[in-house]
Amino acid sequence: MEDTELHTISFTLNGVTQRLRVAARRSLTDVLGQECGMKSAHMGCGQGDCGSCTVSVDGVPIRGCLLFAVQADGADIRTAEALANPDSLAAIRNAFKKHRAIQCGYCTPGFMVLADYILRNELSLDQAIQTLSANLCRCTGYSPIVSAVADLLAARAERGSGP
Amino acid sequence: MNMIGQSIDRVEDDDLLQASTRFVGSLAFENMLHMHVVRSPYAHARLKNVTVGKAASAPGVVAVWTGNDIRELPPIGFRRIPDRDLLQHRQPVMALDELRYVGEPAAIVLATDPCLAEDAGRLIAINAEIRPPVLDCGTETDARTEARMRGSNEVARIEKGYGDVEAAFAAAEHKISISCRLARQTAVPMETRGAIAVPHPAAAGFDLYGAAKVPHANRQELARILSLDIGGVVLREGHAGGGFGVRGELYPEDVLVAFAALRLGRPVKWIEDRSEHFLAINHSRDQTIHLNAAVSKTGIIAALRARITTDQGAYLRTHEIKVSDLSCAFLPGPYRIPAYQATATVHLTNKTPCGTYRAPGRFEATFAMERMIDAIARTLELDPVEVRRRNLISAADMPFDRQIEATGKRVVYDSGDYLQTLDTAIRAFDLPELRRSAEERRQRGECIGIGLAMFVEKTDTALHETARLELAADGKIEIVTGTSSLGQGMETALAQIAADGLGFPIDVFRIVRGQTDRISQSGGTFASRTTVMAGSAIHEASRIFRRKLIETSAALLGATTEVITLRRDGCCINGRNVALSELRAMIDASAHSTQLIAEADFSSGAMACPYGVHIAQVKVDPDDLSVTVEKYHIAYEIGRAVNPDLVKAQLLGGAMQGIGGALMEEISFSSDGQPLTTSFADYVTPRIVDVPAFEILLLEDWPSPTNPLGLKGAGEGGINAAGAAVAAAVEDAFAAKIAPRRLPITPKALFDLLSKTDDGLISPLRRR
Amino acid sequence: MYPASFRYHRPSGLHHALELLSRHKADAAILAGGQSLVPRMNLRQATPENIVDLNRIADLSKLAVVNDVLEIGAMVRHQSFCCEAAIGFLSLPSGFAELLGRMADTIGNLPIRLRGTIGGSLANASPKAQWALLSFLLDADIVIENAGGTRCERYTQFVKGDGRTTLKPDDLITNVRIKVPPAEWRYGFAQLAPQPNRPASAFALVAITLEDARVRDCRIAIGACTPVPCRLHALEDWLSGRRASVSGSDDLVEIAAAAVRQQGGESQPYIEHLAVVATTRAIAQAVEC
Repeated sequence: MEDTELHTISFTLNGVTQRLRVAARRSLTDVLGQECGMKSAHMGCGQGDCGSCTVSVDGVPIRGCLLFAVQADGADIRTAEALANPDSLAAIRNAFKKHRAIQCGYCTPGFMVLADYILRNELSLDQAIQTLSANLCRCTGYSPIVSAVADLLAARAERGSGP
Repeated sequence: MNMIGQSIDRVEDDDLLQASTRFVGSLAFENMLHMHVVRSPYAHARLKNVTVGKAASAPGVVAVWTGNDIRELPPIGFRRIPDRDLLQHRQPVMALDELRYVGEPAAIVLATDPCLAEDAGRLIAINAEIRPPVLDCGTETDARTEARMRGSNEVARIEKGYGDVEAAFAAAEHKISISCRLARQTAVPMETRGAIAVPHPAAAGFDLYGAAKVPHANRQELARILSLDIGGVVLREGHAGGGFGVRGELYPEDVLVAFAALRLGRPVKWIEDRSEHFLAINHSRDQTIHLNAAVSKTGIIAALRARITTDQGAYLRTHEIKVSDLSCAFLPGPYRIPAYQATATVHLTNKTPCGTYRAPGRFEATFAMERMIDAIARTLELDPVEVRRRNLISAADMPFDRQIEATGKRVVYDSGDYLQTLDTAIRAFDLPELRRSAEERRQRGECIGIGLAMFVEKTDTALHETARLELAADGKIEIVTGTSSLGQGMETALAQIAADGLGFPIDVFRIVRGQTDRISQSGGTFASRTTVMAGSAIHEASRIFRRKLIETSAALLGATTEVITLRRDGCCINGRNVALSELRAMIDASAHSTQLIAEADFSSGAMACPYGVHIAQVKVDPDDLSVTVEKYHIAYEIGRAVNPDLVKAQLLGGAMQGIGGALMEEISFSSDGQPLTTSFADYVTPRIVDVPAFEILLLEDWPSPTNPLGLKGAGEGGINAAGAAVAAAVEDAFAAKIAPRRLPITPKALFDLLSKTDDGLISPLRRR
Repeated sequence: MYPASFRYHRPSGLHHALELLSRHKADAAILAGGQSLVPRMNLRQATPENIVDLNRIADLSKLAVVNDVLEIGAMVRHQSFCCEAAIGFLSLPSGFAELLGRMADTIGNLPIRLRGTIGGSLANASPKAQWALLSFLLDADIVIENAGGTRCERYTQFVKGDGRTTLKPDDLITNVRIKVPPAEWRYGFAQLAPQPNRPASAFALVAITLEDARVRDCRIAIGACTPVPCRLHALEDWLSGRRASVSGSDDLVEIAAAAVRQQGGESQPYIEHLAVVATTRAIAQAVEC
């Protein structure tokens, strides 16, 4: 069956309203990458297993490969290009860089989205590790990713308790 | 400025973090078509015909082709031909008369939209006569259907050895045999494969995006298969989401996108999906290794026999029988072993073809050899470390000629002191304390074990490597290399070497890699060779560049070369600073000057052999038998580390992958040859909860004499001994009452192993 | 990797959804959290012509306690049970609330839990699903509606096998009802897998009450290793009235093994072993908590 039926949708992508016409079967990851030019939209498995496609939808991390773009109509979407808080985005980037949490970079946007969620929700390190365990990385051995997020949490705690 | 040895930030990261870089999946070209591959649903069948009528007239479809439509294309070749007789086992670009594994390409659809291409693919019917699949090595096969196999499915036999093995066995005080098995595994990089071919006018050639690993070799092979002039084939590498040996080999899909783009005169894109990936990309490991050792009562190995059986899958791909060859060649590892005889047989089965995966042949060989050392220790009631110590090659014997060849090249360990490194590792990681505390916890009823394994890696130097430095129009110095970035940070390491040679800061440089029209030659990126080979070539090129830079500046500014000094981002002449961009403008304006370009070629007669020690501490749950790696320590002799942090990152990532290989990862098939592992839900890889406490010790005690910088490779030392160390630790956790010799050691496998012992180990619940 | 084409429907209310299902019947699939359906669609193992998306029907996401019955809307996400802010207002007995959180926490991973729903999980009737196990232990009822009316079924009767239920093509699960257990109930939940990071191959859920260091009442259910979850009545009978300290005993292991074997779901000795381990662990937890 051909996609004769296109749906007009709009959502906020990294703070900017987008209006699109999409076929119902296109995943959010597909549309973000192919229609909206988001280079961080990485399809890794299409099964929700690997998390390379993780994006923030209405403030929570979601598998972009398992959400039809048409379902995101009206949603507030954030990708690794522009996470909610610019300071926090810069801090996440620096921590990932400093701790060698990036090798090939394919899983990185998904992990950044999880890190952003962890920081916004002030999770404990244990909770953070459980949360990060949602996504797969095949290069780094994960330990640098954990160090980066632990560092971010420690910096946050220090700021929180400081004068 | 001494840039070598500094752990500077990666030059790749800003690009990746800001997601300003495109992986092949997000590239698009005007008028582009999308390819969908229809694959064999059968493990083994005679192909009668493929019905494409309905698909050809489906919406958006531009072309549908089967094997019959491309009969003129030769099969995909080997990069090395060990035996012409093996050429008959090469994989055709699409199946012709026989389907030989589930996932073999049988037809392609070209359509204007990827969804429509897949829709049409569903309308294609493969009509075939199903045959019983061959799924084991040593299976006798029906001569009619398997005319190409010699009555059995064995297609190649490799023999290697030296010394008088017979005599040593005849005189041996102990003969010890073990059988080891490594399941089929694969690398699963996070990005699946992808390729886009953009045709040149008049079908004279094409640009192929999505290249990796060995762009120059693939350029040559694509030109051969498609009967094009080599200059018409341009491979373009962007960012690649992990390689580990499997990405970047020339696969049928690469040929198919190029073929389609040429024939249709339009860009053609193909992106692999994950379930295809599990069927189509090279698998690896899948070896059975039987070892017999002739051993003195003091634990010294007098001779070793190895019998290796490799399940190669349905075809011989670009790496032909190389992995089995490497297993034979590197099995003796760091040990003297005065007499050695290895036989490897390679068997074709109706499974996805195998190729190389990080530490190919060595992950397997180290596992078997180290299990043998532990078996000797157990039989003779010696400390496993002591048995190693007694058998290690001594520093006085370096360089050590193994007297055998690996893929046609003599194996000579270039440098090192294995005993010293073992002692250093034992001290640094305090092995006695690790053992003591494990024993204490065992007394308390916990199931804790410590395992140690040693290994020798190789850095491939078989092919030479060309590098070029060029002063670009914007004043940057371009480092042009044909080696490949797969995420390992090679841009940073190579820029550091150039910066070190020229004394310029790192941001002066820009790496241009994997663009076959920018440099004439490259061996590519595999076997941990990039930093060593391309780095050595760049080191040499930077010396030439420096000389030319001074000469050119002197000529342009009317000064003598003696008064010119290099400084931050240019040169200084009698107090006047000339930036590189300024210099470039002066060259462009001058009628007499030629552009600043320095090219150098590096080749080496010998391989560089890094080596090291892995120590694992595991905890086994006595009830559910799950294994947790609590600590993982690596000591690694790197010769000289260009960027120590990046070397550590390689070791750490490799070790985690190796722990996956040791405990979780296994590709399996049903009895009719259907793959049972086609997703990350079935093929289980490590997650963050599985991460042990890592400690990594880099040693630079033995610079390699094989290259000017003393470098040894970094890519594979992390994974090499992981299977061996983890298995030894599990064995230790059960006080050597079991000997895990099959990877992966899943809880189920451990249960089965324990069930075979009769001392009540399997009823741990009752111990309470 | 691209699903087959389908018509997308986004009903704004329950009535509209039921009408769509009644119109398209077997040609329609219900899209709840999508964490099981969409992976199958991406592989074209499921190729529905119509998708009825429930995500905009606010009525299906309600949580309430009515007459001591916990009513969970079918579209309540797994993650809600992990979140004090989402279920705190229900004032459930603390042990029970904690159990719900613990069980939810073992489902998939955070992004999956944030989308996946209890109704979707129960409708899929996977033997590896946590909510199915809970529903068997606590005799949950599910409310099913279609254009013709509403019915209520005991979940144990609703499930007919691995993935098989009494659901008709135009039926929609709208609510799950669980009688709120007394505050004195104590729980244990344990799950085990043959490989790390995999869904459970065996899990066990236990609820007991203690009196004078003896087990007064108990309920024990196992799942994942059987096509549908099941209660281990023989073990429940054996355990009732015994001293709580029996939880670490060899006798318990043997009786549990016999009870598990009686179910005969998995012939693999290892899976059977896991089921016994899970059961004894869950009992120990319930006693010790």
